Amino acid sequence: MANKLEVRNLRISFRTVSGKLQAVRDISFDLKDGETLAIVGESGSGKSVTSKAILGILAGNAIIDGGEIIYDGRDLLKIPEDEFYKIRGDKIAMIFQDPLSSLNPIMRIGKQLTEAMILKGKARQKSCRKAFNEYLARLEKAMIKSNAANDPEKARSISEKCKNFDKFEGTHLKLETAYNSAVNNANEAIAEIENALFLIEKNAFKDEKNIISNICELSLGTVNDYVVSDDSAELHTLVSSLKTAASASKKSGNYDEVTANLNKINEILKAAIAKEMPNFFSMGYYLTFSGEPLPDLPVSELNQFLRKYLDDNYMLEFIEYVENALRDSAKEHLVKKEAVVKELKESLNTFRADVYSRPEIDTLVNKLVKDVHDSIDPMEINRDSTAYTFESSLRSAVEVYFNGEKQNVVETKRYEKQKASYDRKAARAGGELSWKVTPAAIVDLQLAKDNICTIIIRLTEHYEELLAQKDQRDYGEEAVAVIDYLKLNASGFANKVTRRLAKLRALKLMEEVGIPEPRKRYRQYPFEFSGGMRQRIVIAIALAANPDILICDEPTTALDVTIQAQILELINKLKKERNLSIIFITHDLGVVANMADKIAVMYAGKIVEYGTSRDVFYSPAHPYTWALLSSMPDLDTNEKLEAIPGTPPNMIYPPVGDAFAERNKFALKIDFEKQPPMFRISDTHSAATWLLHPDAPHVDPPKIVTERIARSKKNAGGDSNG
Amino acid sequence: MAELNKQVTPSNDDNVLLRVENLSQHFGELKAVDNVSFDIKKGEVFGLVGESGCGKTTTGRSIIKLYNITSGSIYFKGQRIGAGTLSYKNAIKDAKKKFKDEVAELKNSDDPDKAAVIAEKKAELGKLISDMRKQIASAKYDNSHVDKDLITQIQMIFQDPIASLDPRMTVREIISEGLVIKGMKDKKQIDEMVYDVLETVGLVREHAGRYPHEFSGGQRQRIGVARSVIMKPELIIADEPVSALDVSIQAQVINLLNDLRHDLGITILFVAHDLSVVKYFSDRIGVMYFGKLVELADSDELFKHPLHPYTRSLLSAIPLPDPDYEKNRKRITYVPLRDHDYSVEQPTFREVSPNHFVLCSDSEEEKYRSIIGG
Repeated sequence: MANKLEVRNLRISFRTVSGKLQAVRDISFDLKDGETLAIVGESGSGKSVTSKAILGILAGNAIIDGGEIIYDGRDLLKIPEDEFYKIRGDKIAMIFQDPLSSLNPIMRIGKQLTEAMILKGKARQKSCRKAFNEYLARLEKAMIKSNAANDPEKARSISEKCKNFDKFEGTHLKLETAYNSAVNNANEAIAEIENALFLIEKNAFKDEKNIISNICELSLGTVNDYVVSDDSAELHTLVSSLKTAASASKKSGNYDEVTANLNKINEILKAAIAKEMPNFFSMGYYLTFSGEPLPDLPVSELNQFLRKYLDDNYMLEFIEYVENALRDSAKEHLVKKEAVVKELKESLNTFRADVYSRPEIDTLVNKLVKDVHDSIDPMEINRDSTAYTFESSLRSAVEVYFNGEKQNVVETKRYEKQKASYDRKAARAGGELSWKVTPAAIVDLQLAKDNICTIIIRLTEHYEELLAQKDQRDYGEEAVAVIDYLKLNASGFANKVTRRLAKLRALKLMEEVGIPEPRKRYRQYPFEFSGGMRQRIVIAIALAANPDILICDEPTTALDVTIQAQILELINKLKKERNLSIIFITHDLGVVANMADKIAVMYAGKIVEYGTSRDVFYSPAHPYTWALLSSMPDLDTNEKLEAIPGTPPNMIYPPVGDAFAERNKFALKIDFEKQPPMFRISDTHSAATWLLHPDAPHVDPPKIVTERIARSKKNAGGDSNG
Repeated sequence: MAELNKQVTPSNDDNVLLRVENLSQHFGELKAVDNVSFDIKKGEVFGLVGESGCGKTTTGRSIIKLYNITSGSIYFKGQRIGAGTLSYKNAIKDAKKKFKDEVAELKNSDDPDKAAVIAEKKAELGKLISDMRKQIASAKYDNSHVDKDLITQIQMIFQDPIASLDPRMTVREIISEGLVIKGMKDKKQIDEMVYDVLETVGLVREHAGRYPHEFSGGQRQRIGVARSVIMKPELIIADEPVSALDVSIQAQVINLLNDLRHDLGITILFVAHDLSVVKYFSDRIGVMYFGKLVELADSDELFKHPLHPYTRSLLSAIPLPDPDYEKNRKRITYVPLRDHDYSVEQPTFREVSPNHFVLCSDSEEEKYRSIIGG
């Protein structure tokens, strides 16, 4: 699984009246494709700050002291705001903690739901169009270069092909969109009909006018050449007779005729959606270029015929050209990469030198950045994060070094001056003074240098890995991926989000998140909703844009169990369907156990334990994790809960040693003196506590934790036996 | 009189501190609480659970007379502290209607002494109406003449520790407000009491001069607890006291409430939606669904033998800190129309096994009994 999001050495602090508050202190984690990472901790541990940094919505007094957040080949901490627009809400969406303050009180719910959809829809259309055009142009150039270097005739035919791709892709999408909407209508109509039949059977059929008219509308929406085509006349008569029957039965109270009608419609629709789906891609090509009507064949044969037509006339040749283009381009850039690796290795000598000279370093950085940039293959669809972020990482790391150099001089001078003054005054007063000299904030230049070297080594290793794999690359496969990429972007700009469509989608979303009577609710204001309902609206808004990464900041804390379970199931379902990656922030460990693939336990701005959910729940290693687990009752808990004494430390003056030491009854002496590093327990599991040091005394977790683990192991064992 | 069908849970001892009888609380058309009855015994923790909007908070607020209840009675230490009149009014209305129908029928018939029968019926109706009017008058009297000292023995802890503390009052003012309203004037004595109660809830006396915003969430909730404890209550209604708090702080507050209960013998009505916490903390649990109490049992019994389909669905939704269990947990959904057939008979609240009450019909009762028996 590829990393979707990488956070590296992130450090964030806040300027406050009383000093610089260090909210996040050097955390790193990866978020993989389709994975849920849970961040657990008390309030004030920096969970929300981390997620807000990912979304670029930190408060104005926040300072990013360092680190990188890498998404889609870009460092989110360093891109300009107008570029962030395209990511925030669209690619990375967030469900906020407090539904009361995250909804606009003077806007109707419907408007709030559709607003983003319409705006983002327009933006997406534009960006897809741009991506499509740019890539196709690049591809055309590369194809001509590698396939028809000295053959203007062939070059022209390639250009022609590229233009045609754009054309028939349009036809294909029109057909496919119509088909999809018809099938969707059919599915919805079937669900509505079954619901209505159920209600009639139970004698609880109310609001029939709306339900019946909805069914009629939906069933008529299924008429399409490939969904309900032959039966469309029958469907029309059924629908009109259903309407009359419904109004008659409302007076008489006899629903037999309505039931019969509904059953018949149901049958037609079920038969319709069971049909095979035609291959619209090839059909689009056939209709655009053959100039003939479609042959009258059953769908499966039609599909074969169309496929063959497309392959013979267009696709096989096109794919071959693409493949050639990709191969040539990759080869060319692999050579460049090899050169860059050599160059990078050489540059390390300069960066490891004791003294840096600014002009020399600057020219070297500029040259490296330019060469690395040239070595990136423009034909790659997936952006190579490490290479793309090389420039921003290297430049900022170098900047840190030179700023530090300057600052150290200033700070040392200041310190010496104040110290001299202090000593003088102290000597005069004969003893200590009531104030102290702030120690000099010296930047560790060696560390800054190491950071620069790490960035270079990281890219070197990454490139070496790529070079080692160069023989195993399958360019045929990549060519198919390229076609899919083009198709995806084309569908992005062909699907326009109109107001009506947005409303329909909003209503569907509202239903999905479990809001009854969405049509009525759509026109209401937030104050007319209860807390749980408001939270569902917030979730619906976050999902509206179909994001890549979903950040859930305590989404269910304010909800009760049944609704919480529904919402969690909903999020899990969407995760599976859309291959979402989720960052889930919560302090409810039950919810974490349900949702998380990986867990990061945070305390005082640091990750203190990191592992898979089994690691953290069944073999927790950090005393803070123990404390969290033992402060929460489950259904079998009878003993007194072990609350964590005290409060989290003041992060304006972060403690020297382990931040949790003061509240930790297992704390060792070293915990107060030195910060523990991350100790590796297994490949997936690590924790930052001195208890894991080989010299540390053996400590067992609290009884309440060990007993619970034993109990769940027993339950699991019992299940497998029984 | 179908409206007055008493569904009172019989109590076997006189140890009852609070009795709620057929409590209904309607807001216009909305029946927030509908015919709910239960007892709370001295010294126990009674948990009330259900999804948001099911009327559990309204029940708590009705008991402490934040609302004028629509119908039913609330007894605290044997005295009626709240009463509603709707049921009596309905009884009058129904009797009048019945009388009218009967008279019309009689007039059409050729019964020789119909005049006498009508007169008899009229007298009956007049008696019923005057009875009911007396009841209404007594309910109104009880409602407006509640013993102030008695009612201060019920105190409430609110859900949101931020919104429920006045930001412009110091902690001392917040905690002592009740005493001042009650008429206590001696500043020194009040201060002493405030310091005492602060220590009881785990804060220190220096905190008395500060403002709420200077405290963390858990500490704020402690102030809320202190505010109610200083009135020396016998019953505390804790309306979701921990759901807005962090886990570690939740544990602190739960431990605090537990200590108060054991040290001071306070009875607690615990309204919450976190079932693990309710299970841990309560002796008996009532489950509410859409304004109705659907199940009531000892907490262990309820978790061992959940009978009502809604209770089952609720229990199946509890997330536990155990990933393997969570992966296999199947949630049961509750669809009233599918799960019950009440077309023949309306359900009533019955005792299916000792101290285990369920809202059910005859056929369901049999089924539930067999489940418990087997």
